[in-house]
Amino acid sequence: MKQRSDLRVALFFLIPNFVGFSVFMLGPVMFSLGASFTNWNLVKSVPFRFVGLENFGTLFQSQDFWLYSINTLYFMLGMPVAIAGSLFLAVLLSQRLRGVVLYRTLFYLPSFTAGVALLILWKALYNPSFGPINELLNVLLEPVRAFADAVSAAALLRERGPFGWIAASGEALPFLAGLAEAQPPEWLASTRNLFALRPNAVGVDAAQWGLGARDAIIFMGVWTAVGGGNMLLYLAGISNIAPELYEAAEIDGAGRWAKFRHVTWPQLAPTTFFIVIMSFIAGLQGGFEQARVMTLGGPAGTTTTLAYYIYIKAFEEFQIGYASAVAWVLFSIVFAITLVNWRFGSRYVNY
Amino acid sequence: MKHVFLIIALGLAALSLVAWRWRPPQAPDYRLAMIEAVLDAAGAEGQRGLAWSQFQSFMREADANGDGVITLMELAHRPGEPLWRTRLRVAFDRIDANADGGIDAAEQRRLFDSLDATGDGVLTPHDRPAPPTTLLWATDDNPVRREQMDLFNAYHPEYRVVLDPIVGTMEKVIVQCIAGVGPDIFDCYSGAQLAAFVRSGIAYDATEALAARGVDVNEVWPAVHPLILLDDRLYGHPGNTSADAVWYNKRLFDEARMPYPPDDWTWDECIAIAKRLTRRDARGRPVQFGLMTGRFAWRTTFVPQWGGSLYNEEGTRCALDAPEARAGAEFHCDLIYRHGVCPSATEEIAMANQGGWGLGEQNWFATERTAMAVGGRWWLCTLRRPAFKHLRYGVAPLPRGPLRRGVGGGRASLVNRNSPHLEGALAFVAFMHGKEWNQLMNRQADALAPVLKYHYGDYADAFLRDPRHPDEDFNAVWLETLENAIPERPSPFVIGQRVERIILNESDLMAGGLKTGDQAMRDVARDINEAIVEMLRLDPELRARYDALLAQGAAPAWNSEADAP
Repeated sequence: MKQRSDLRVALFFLIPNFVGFSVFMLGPVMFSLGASFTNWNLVKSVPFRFVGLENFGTLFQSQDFWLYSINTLYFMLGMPVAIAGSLFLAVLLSQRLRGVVLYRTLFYLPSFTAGVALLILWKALYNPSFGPINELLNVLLEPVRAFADAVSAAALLRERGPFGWIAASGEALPFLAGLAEAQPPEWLASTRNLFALRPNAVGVDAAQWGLGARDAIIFMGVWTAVGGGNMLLYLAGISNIAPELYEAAEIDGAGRWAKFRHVTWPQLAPTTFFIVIMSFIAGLQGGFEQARVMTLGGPAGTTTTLAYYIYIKAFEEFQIGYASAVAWVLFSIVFAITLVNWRFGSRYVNY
Repeated sequence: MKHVFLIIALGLAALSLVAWRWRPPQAPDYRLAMIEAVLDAAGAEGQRGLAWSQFQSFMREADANGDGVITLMELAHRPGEPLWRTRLRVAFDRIDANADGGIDAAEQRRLFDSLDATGDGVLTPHDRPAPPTTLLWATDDNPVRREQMDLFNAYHPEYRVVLDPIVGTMEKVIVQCIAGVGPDIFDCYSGAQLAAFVRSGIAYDATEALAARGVDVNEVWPAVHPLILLDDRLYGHPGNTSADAVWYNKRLFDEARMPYPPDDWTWDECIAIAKRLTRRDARGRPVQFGLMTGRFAWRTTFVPQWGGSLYNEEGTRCALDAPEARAGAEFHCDLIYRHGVCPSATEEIAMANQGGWGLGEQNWFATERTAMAVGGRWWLCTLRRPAFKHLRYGVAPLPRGPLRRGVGGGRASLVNRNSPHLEGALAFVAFMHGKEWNQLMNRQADALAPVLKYHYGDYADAFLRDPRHPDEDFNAVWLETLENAIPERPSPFVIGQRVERIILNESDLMAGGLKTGDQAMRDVARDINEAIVEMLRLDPELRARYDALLAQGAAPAWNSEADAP
């Protein structure tokens, strides 16, 4: 009898949440699924009609969709670094250090600072001419430039001396000349990237190799993520590891690394598994704020991700049906990757 | 325990209800305060009603020197003064609508009319005003905009315009309007935006309503017609209008011992001057630019000056692949890469700011890091600030290309078709056609007034020589610039935002040196024409209009019949 009464009370308290979830989440999600099979356009003169899978066919043939998918995946390159960084920080901050609470707060600071404020700050840091990052890089590059200048001058002056091989070589002098002219990256102004991807077409172009807007956003993302929620999850995970396991390892003669490798890491496997899944989901859905605030998706679309593409199509170009289709393709990718993670990732979770 | 939860839930529900019903406190309506004070002062006679002649006796009493104009000095506080006098002083700024420091006879009459809510020519207790209707205006938030709202509120105390900030984009307005919570009035910055607002069913067709309120679109600068007119229907009124000229820093010219730019100069002359005024540090970083044109100058200046345009006359085809347009874009690239007098993409980023229009160039000019910069009169809103008082600057017309012209623009306000306060919204938009608004625009230097006549004839002197800013001897240049400005006509056959996205991407490639101006223009034209074809496939109504234009000889967006929709 009491159980039934408790159930009624529980259901009563669940109603607001369920109503909110249905109205603001489930309803729109289902609505967007329906919209993805239509040509719904905010332009009134476009007649509304059911188009079946046409939107999906169009998007798979669209170069933009593939370019922005590549951008989305590219931004996820920072994910392993961010996870490793979080783990490293969590291990450090779980030590019994003086002022550890202060350190934890400091490292978590980026997570509770307003996102837009951070993005504007990073935009200033990345300023190619006057940003502090490039100021520092210029200081570091100065001796390199001077050295390259000096060596190439010496090589040219004494063609038969110890530097003669440089002058004789066909490639060393141009390389030195390039080094003498080395400039820091242009960050948000540049379309360059580490995989030499072309900015306006799917393909590779060696001239595009370098550091540019995409990489700038990855570095910023890693900085934000390292001390964020993942670090807290790892900290919580570490605090739950039974001390007896470490004691036993010590009796067996394990050092710090061995304790980490054979106790901490395996014990944290469920946490890591959860973090990897959540990071994949966040990564695939990410990039909107950065594009909106820092780059408007540029230069030349290189920082446009699928999330921002959905916004462009729906609210700039009014193609709600098409944007819904992109959203559902993105959902399908997220879902598939999560399933794969779940299927194969759980093999490594032993506890 | 469950009772505690229940109490908390009920408490939260009660709080939600309070939050839902709560309205922020509003400033008291000065008309209510005035009417009560005046009727009280008139005693028994006041209870029967106060005619204009009796009201005038109060005004005469306030006008101590009898010159017909009441100043704040005359309303200075006196011990034991009557309440109406105090209230007149408190509301002085709102009554002095033209902000000339005095309430003249016309403003006194306007005050009486505004108090006489029933319009029977007599003030009675029945004239107590109803609370003002709030009108929401989606526009960019800045001090001049607030002064503009105050002016309207002073003339129309039955309304209270409040600001809903936007930053030049239209997505927020469209989403709000479609959700049924849109602003009453919203801004529009281009013909492409107007087309989008109209075609998404948001903008109100105000042709007849505005004509009935005395708005004559022929009196508005042609450069801003695309922002308000679509298919000969009127959807709003421009709040201002603008065209670019060249700002120059007199100190930097003097230090270089160079004469100031002449009124009739060519780009060759401009480049020669800019080269002498460009300075870089040992690393090649710009310390001072000779000229800054802005990233999209190819579109607003060079393509039109070289005889090109975004679309053909009928709007059926993007015309940027025409030789004239390509030559204009090439010239822009030459300024950056061949002559090195304008910033590259990197340098543009170094100057870029968050939000606003052209703030990068403006800031560089204000901090004396460029000798010349292409910009509008609205820069004065910044340059007049005390922080820049030390600056000495002048304005010259744009140098001559093959043609002498540039694209004009501005900011228009449109009415939400589903506004619950349509009358108020129309009153606000129509107010932009009047003398008070136009004079305020010219006085604030928020670009230029939207109506032509307020720059000529009786109004010319006030515009050309503002006694509050005697150093600004260049207003004639703005007028000439606007006379030479042409409107950028959008194509009705493509979504404007799609076009802007294409232009943005290709401009990035051009400014980054990854494409020549020639190649970028060809690619922009190709992509826009493809977007036109795509739109025609979607919209049979547009297709019919398009076919009709083709039948009259207009060029199609496709090059071969195989690409036709």
